[in-house]
Amino acid sequence: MVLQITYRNQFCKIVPPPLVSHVIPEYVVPHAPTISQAVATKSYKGVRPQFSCTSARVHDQKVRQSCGAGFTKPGEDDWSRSESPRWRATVTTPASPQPFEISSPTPKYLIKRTSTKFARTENRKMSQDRSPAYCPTSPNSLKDINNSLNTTGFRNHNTNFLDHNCNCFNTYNTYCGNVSNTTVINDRSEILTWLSPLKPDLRHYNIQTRRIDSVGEWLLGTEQFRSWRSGGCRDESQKATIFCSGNPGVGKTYIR
Amino acid sequence: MVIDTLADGANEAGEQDVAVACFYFDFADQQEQSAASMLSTLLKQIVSGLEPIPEEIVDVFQKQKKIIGGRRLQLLEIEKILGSLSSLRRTFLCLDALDECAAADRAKILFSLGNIIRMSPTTRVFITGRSHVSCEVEKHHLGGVASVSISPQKSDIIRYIQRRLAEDPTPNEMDKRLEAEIEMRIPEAASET
Repeated sequence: MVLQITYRNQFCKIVPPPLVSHVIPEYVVPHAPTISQAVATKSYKGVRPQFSCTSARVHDQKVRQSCGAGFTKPGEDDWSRSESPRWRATVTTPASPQPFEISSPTPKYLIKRTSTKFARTENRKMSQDRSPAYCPTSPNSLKDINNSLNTTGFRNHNTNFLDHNCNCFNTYNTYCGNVSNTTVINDRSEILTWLSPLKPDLRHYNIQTRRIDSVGEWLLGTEQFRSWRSGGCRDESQKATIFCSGNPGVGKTYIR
Repeated sequence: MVIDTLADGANEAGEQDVAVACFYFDFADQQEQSAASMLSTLLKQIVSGLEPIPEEIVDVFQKQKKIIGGRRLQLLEIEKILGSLSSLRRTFLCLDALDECAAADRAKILFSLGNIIRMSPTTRVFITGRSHVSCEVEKHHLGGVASVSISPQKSDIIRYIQRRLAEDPTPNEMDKRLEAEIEMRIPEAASET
């Protein structure tokens, strides 16, 4: 089932979330979930989720959808009756126009039923108040949601949500900056760690401290070492490799 | 393993831009010391000496970052980048205890080193290891291999013992006679083996 609506003069499609194919273990939440468990900073299929919510349980379906993420209990809209063991986390991604859904491995028939109901709820809400609910989100439209929440006084009659959830929008707002493609990589250490997480400098330091001065220095004076070392500078005919062989413990590692 | 000599010596000689990278193999770490992880560690050390980080690496990083949250480079890619970066500066690659590396990885590593030297003939490679891997090293040519056999020199042993005795945490339990005996017997025993 595909719903089509118009929101702010933009033509939007609402596609029921894809189901079992999008199971990401990190998002499977077997027990009563809070939004904090949906912190959607991990990318999925190369796509980074648009926002992250860091705290609180979102009690209102509309808000859940507005933030673009939330947990829905299969077959039920009401959080307070929270006995069902399975929950689904939904996450909206900026790159794809449709929300995708991450579900815990619920039996298929259950998912099906839920998603239909979910979509139906969607439909009703859209037609009722034209709320920006679960439509494809751009950073702007999410900001609008935030604003409209302020103006409609929604926050006042839903203090429970607010108390826990003020971080939600803050995080979202800061996150927005990172979503853009203009992110500048100025973090050298991030690149270096990506290249390799190993730390040979530690091992080297360890050896350095245990080394005893001038032990093994004779090697540095040998003709082989000197020509190897100076080679390559002017004269490429020199041997490029020097191999120091010896039994364990003769001090190969500890040459200065 | 000569790293300090190479790095410090370069400064004294007024040589510019010397890159030194090292890797210590360890039996206990064979799992994480694969050919790719070893070469990428060398690459990391060479890149860390460059300011700014070469564009080609930043580009690749940007691309890989989006895949599974930071997909790492593969052996061939690392090899290519290492080869091109090594030709920019005089580069020393030092590998300790090559024999402690898993045999399959060893072959890959030597093969890659050969390629790097071919791309950048000024690269110098320093390898230590037990003698049984020397034929493997020579087989891969690596731009010509000079072999040096390391055996304990008597003077080294004496110097080592003297130093250790000087650092003795319980000097009261040592007397001159014992000290002299240690300094005589141990180097003798070592030279017999």
